[in-house]
Order: sequence, then C-alpha cells, then structure tokens
Amino acid sequence: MELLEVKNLSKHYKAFDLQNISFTLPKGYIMGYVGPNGSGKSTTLNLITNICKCSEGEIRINGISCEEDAVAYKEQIGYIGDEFYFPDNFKVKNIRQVLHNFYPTFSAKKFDGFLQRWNLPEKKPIMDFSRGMKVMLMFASVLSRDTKLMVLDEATNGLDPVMRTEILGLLQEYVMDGERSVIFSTHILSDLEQIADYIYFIHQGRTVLYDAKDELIENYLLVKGEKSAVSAKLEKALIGVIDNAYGFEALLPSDQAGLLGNDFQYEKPNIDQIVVHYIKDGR
Amino acid sequence: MRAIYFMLIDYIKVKRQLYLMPLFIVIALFMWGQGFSILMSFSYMIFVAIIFSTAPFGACKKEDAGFLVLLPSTTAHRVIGRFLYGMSLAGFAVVCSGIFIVNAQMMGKGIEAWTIAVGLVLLAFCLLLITMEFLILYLIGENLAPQLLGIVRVAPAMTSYFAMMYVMDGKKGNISDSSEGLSILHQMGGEMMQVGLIAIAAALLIWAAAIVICVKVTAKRDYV
Repeated sequence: MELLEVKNLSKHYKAFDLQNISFTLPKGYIMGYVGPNGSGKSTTLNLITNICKCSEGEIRINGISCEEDAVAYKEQIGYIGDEFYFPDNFKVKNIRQVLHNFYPTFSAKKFDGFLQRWNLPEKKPIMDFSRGMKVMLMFASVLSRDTKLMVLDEATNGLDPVMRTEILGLLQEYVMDGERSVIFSTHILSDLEQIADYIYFIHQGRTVLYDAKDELIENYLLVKGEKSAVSAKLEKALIGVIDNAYGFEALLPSDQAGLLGNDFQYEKPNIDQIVVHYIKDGR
Repeated sequence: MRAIYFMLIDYIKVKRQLYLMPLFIVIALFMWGQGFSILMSFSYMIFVAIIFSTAPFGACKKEDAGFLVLLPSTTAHRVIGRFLYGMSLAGFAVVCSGIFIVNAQMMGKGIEAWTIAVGLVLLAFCLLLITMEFLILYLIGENLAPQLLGIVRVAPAMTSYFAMMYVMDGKKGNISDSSEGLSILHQMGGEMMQVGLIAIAAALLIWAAAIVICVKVTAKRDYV
C-alpha cells in the first residue's frame, strides 16, 4: 500500500515553477529526493509538510489529505529540516511539554531516553547546542512519537561521518516494521546509495528520473573513452558528456550498450554519477 | 484546546519580556498609592497589555514553521491561540485592577458604579486596539520588519493612553460627572453601565470577526 501519494504537484513563484511532480512511496521504503541547489527539492518537501500551499495537485499520506483533516495529516509527519526549527528561547522541557500537548502518541520516556542516549543536556539553552546536538534533538522529538512519514530536508548537512552513519541507521530502523517510510533530500548522494530504495531526481522544477535505485543503476552504463571513436548514433544516445584529460565520460542507457563495440570502457554508475551527468546534460 | 496550547506557546516565546510584568504592576500600584484614580492605574495596565500583546509577532522566525506549523492543528487553532494570548493580557489588566479594587473596598474606600462603567469602556477600547493590531500584523504578514512591528506595537498603546487621559480629564484621573470625556459617553445615551456592556459586546464581536478574517488570510499564505 502507498503511504505517500503525490499527484501533479505544481507551485508557481515569480522566478521559479515546480511543475507536475508525481510519485508514490510505498510503506516501508526510503526515497531519496535529489537535485541541484534551487531545483525544487525543499519546495516539494514544504508542500508535503503543508508549510507551503500548492498551486495545483494533491498530496495524501495514508489516504488523508491536509485539506480533509489537517490534524490527522500532520500527526503522521515527522519533519527534520536543514534549519533548526525550535524557537530560540525554548528549553528542552518546553519542547517536551509542547509535544505532550499536541501529540497523543508522544512518549516522554522515549524522548528522555533519546536525550540520554545522545547526551543532550536538559538544562543548557537549546540555542547554545552544537549543530549535531540540534539535529539529534529534532530526531528525538520525531522518534518519540508514532509518525508514519519522516521528511528530511538536507538534515545531515554539516554533520560528521559518525553522526551521519548513526542517522542512516536510525532511518533504516524507522522503516523496518514495514509501516513507515522516509523521504530524504540530500546533496550527500553516498548516503542515499546506502539506504534509499527509490530515487526521485528533480532539476529546474521538473522530474528528470524516478525509479527504484537498483533499477536506475541497472538502466545505465558509465562510458569512458576517446571522443574521436564516438559514432554519430552513439553521440546522440550519450547523456551528459564530460570531457577530461583522458577523453570523455558519459552515461548511456543500458539498452543502447550495443552501440559501444570494443572501443570504450564501461561500468555501472553510482547515483552520484547518474545525477552529475544528467545535470550536465540539462535534460 | 489546541488553541489554548498555542496561546501557551506564545507565552513561552515571549516569557523573557513578560518577566518585566511585575515591575509594571508595582508602578500601577505606586500610581494608585500616590492618589491617582483606580482608572488611571487600570489605564496604565491596559497600556502595558497592548504593548505586550504583539510580542509573539516579534518572536516569529521563518524557521520556526518546521515545528509550529507542523504541530497537528489547523490555521484556526494557531490564529485563535494568538488572539487568546492578546485577550489574556487584557484579562490580566482586569485581574490586577480587580485586586486593587478589592483592596480598596477592604480599606473602606468605596468604588462608584461610574468607575466600573468607565473601566468597561476602557477594556472594550483595549480589546479593540489589540484586535486591530493583530489584524494589521496578520494582513501584512507575521514575519514583518522590526521597525514596522515597533510602530504597530507602540502607536496604538500610546493613542489609547492619551485617549484615556482625555476621557478622565483631571491630572490625577479623578473622574466626575462634569468631565468632558464622560459627557460624550452620556450623549451616547442610556446608563453608563449599559454603555460599558455594549462596548464590551461590540469589542468581542469585532474580535471574533477579526479572527475569521485572519484565519482566511493566513490559510492561503506560505510560511517560508
């Protein structure tokens, strides 16, 4: 069953348009939402969380739209952003109280457990927390209640590798019961390589790629070789040709592998390479 | 209930400013002790309430949306919570003045019905000003420039204070039947107490209408 359904989502700004974004995310899966800066990643996530209102389209979590039942819709979301979102003068006890007031499933015991696990000081003003502590406090606030969809907007930015690894583990643990899902926007594509089941690639407000991660990797080849050996037919099929000191590097759809002959080297690309070549291609 | 929780969030957000409240109560008490009318002390508390009522708008940051807007609630809950916060400050001024009045009664100083009636009109005026401030701030947008917020915060409070001085004429705010301000209220017809109650009812109606407008405006707005 689909946990998140996004249909024909559009948002119009003066200088930017998000156009016709559609995807579904089944229960128990992690989706990496990727794209260059300004591509519309945060806009999409803000529309899903209802921080922004869409110009057109529809979003449903577990079949519920925010227009139908805002309380039930928002109860299912756990959001962690790039920016620390608790008001500056809040203390940990204030966060605990607010969560207790608003979320019937909030467990103060779980919350305190996370504070202890990550050594988050109760008394210290949260505005004096380090970046890592702030991120972990946001995670504590989300994981201490029963959410269904975790929305992460570049939440791992600026964290050291140890902390990032811990967060990736948390996300895998989160979806393990098969009832919850994660949509995760990040520039650190190696993180997605480890945990994502689906990749949605957006560029200039439009969908470029959307597929299961393994399918995506299977569907392309990373081709390297001398540019002079490229035939006209192959040149047309190559995606995002990047010239370098040794010739060129580009993506090629796997079903076009027959065009390569023996003049080129090729291998399976990683997500990072697929994204870079598609951005270069500008399609 | 969720609206009340939002009101409590506003209190947490501005609690550092509210720490100054006891100081203002002491000043109001001092004014009263110096022979000023209870209405002058009440006017002063209302002045303070109007100033503090807009404090949560100044404490809004765009980044907070990730937490506050995502709390399971509707736009109406958030807006009503903010309006309840404003009203609670007016209520605070009433409670303080009520304590002064009870204290005065215990000391054998009678409070005339006139005073209560004028107090009701002042309270209605206070609610109206807070409502207008909130309406302006919601229409312009919650995350507005600090300079503009400063004007919206101070100008109505100053206006109200001078208006009250005008109504009460004398330097010490000692009210009498012949005062010019009261004669205006007399011309409004009926007993003063009725005028006071009608003023409160009208202020509450406007307060409710303003909430509806603010909910409609805010519901369409993006938070970031």
